[in-house]
Amino acid sequence: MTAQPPRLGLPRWLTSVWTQAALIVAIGIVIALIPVVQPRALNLQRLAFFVLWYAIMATGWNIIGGYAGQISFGHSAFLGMGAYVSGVLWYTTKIDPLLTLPVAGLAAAAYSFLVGVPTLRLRGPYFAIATIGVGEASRLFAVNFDDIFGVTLTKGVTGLSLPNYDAETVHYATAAVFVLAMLTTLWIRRGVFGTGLFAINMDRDAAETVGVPTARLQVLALAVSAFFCAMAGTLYAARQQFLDPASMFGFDKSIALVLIPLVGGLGTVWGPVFGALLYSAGLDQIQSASRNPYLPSLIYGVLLVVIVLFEPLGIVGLLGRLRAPLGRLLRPSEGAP
Amino acid sequence: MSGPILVGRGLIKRFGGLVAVNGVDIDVDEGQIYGLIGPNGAGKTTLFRLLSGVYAPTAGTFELRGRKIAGLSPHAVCRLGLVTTHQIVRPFADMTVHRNVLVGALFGRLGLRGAAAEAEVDRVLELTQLSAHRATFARSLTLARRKRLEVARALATAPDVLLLDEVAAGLNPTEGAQMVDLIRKIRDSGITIVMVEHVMKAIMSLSDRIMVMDLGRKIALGTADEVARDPAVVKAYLGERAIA
Amino acid sequence: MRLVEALISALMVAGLYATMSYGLALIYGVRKVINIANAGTMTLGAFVTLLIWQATGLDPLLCVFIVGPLFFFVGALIEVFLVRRVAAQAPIISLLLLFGVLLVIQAATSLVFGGDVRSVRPAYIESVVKLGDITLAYNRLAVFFSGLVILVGLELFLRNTFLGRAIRALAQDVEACQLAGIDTKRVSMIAFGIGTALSGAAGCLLTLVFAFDPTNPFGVLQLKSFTIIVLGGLESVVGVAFASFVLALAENVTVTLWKAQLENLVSFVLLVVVLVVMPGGLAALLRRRGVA
Repeated sequence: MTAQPPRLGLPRWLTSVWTQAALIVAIGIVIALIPVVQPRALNLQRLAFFVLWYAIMATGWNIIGGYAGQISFGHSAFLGMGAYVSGVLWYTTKIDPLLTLPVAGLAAAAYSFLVGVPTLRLRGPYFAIATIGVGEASRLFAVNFDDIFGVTLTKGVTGLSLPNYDAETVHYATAAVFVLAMLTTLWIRRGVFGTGLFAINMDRDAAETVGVPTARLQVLALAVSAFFCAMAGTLYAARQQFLDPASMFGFDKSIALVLIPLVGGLGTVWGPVFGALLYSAGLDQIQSASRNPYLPSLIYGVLLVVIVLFEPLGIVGLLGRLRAPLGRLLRPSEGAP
Repeated sequence: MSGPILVGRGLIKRFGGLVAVNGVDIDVDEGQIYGLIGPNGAGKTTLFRLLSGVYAPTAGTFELRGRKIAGLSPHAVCRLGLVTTHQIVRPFADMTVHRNVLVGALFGRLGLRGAAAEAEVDRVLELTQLSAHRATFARSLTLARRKRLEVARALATAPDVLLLDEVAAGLNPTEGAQMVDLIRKIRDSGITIVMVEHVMKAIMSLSDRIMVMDLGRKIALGTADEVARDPAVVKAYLGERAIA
Repeated sequence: MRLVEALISALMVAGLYATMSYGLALIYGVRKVINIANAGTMTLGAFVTLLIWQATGLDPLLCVFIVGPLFFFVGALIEVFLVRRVAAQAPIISLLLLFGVLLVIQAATSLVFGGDVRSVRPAYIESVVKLGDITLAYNRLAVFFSGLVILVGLELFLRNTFLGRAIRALAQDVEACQLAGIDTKRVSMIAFGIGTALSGAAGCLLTLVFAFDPTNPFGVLQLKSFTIIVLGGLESVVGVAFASFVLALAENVTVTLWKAQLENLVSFVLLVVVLVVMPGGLAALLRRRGVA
């Protein structure tokens, strides 16, 4: 099954919602302070941005994919949607992109209804199949948008160059969105909503018979998920100041959003963060070391197969396995049967 | 023991050319245990699925306390106070017993929250004798306990009517007797029960009224004794030659 | 005349579409999982064909007879060592696993062959056949007839051999098959093998029609084949053939009447429409009509 609760056997105070929430906020503050403490470490700032960026999106993906067990191969659609909504608003009306974060989020959530309502009520692999189409169709739509409507807004494949924007401000905003995403996912995981999603994940019919409104919860989960991916899009627009359909709506982004939660720990709160850390840092390392653009893809594919076969809970699962022997090492007396 | 809580009229369900339920009327009085028996393929399970909202009837109406529920989705039916258990038990395998039951309490008719939900889970676990296993993952329970968990999860939704689909099937005599006890306790707490059962002993001893179905139709209705003596029932179960 | 031309040109493309989708339907039938690695094995099929053609000059159509059996083993191995191990878990897990296989195959192909666009051009590539006013490209005609032969062969196999009937029975009811003494594991393995062999064969045929690199046009075709099996009702071989034609025709009409860039959007729109309007696909629609 996709979604076993991790059995790490951590002390209760550490796993309580309040401790976890405090931990999230603390991590957010520490990362936010990077430009203040290390104003000239631009590489570190860049790395921090992309780790958070992937973590935000993967956390969003995890809500529908990990919690509800509906795998999406097309989440780049929501990323791209958010990026373009903010980007276009920015250069046409000069509205500060960070102010349009919620607009981008809501636009993508609305878009997710169009996708989710017809496909999520069906059984079986329909949703997963449909999302592949959603990603590709969204990209084509973005490429041909100007053509179809006879306007000049997205500038098609050439891409959209945006005005300059202060990277430090984006950094703080990114840390804030990260904290918001993590608190949301924690709240869902521990609350009624999450319990319903896990029930759906394990047996949709059984969940339905004991009163879980399965269709509504899944559609809602997809909307929340799309909301965060779109906000990540806005952040990207503000930081990189260039958007093009191939990178924003790219299938490689959708793949990354499947890989990251899976590597980190599907259906767990912290899995997407671990995954994003490994993915961003790993991607940089492998790419600069090998100079071969295909090697990372090969490694991630192998990693995916190995994880599915041997450790469905990813890094979180591995940590759980490590903890038992580690604990025995620290407190040998308890190890005796 | 007031009037009927559950009234079905002219229920029909067709699958392609096959008529699984063919014009059945059903009246269940509040506080009763209502048994449903019949040979294989008689349409019992289909009738059950009509009642619980899994299937929409091809024709006919069905009311719970005067509210039309035919054609509603299962979760809506559950929230109106009618809940069903599955013939093949379907616990949430990777959740603990406690969390399985909690799902029922959170999403059931009362939509309990926080401490109230926990209290209800404790009560139900106590009633179904699963308190000792609350932290066990459902997939590692024995069949008898999984069947009780199925009942517990349904009970936690605070139903007025509980539909039990072969909850005694596959149990050994001791476990079967425990289940019969449990069903009686549930009835005594004021919940109306409709049950399908192959284990004749269980259903005959428990039911206040029994409906016998064959080939999608109701062929007899009455107390256990009345039904057992009914020639149409004997014929349906034993075939023509037993009569001759 | 335009209509006849559109129909014929749709038929030509449908041959390829159908060949690449039969395998998906077959594998979905026995394992109830969408073989998302299908595009990967198709890629591999195309590159193996390229290798054979470069080395020996063997016609891509004849390469089918080498690639097919070879890929049967590849598919059987994937089933035995990967898919079978997670068969007891949620279908999503198999989907993710096969997705990993897809990434590995595509990345490995890129590593070996590089990202350049390749093509296979036998001597007859420019030849055409004239039927009255209608001109048909010889290569497309060849691909169409290959698709037709494969369809007929597959249908005959599924209907008239014990193994074929076992595959169809398994698609309907696993437990009944076990009770009837069918070795379901072996049948699944063989079905997976045949499904993969078909995707490999589609790779061979594809080289005659398209230029290709390790990811293109396989990604686009992937989506099309999903649309086709959903439209065809997931498990029916004849449904697949019919749905392939419907999709090819819809694309053809869109390109002719509207915009060429939107060709690939058609499959997605069709997919959503099918999901909303007739979840069981064409097969269910036909069944319902037949019964009522």
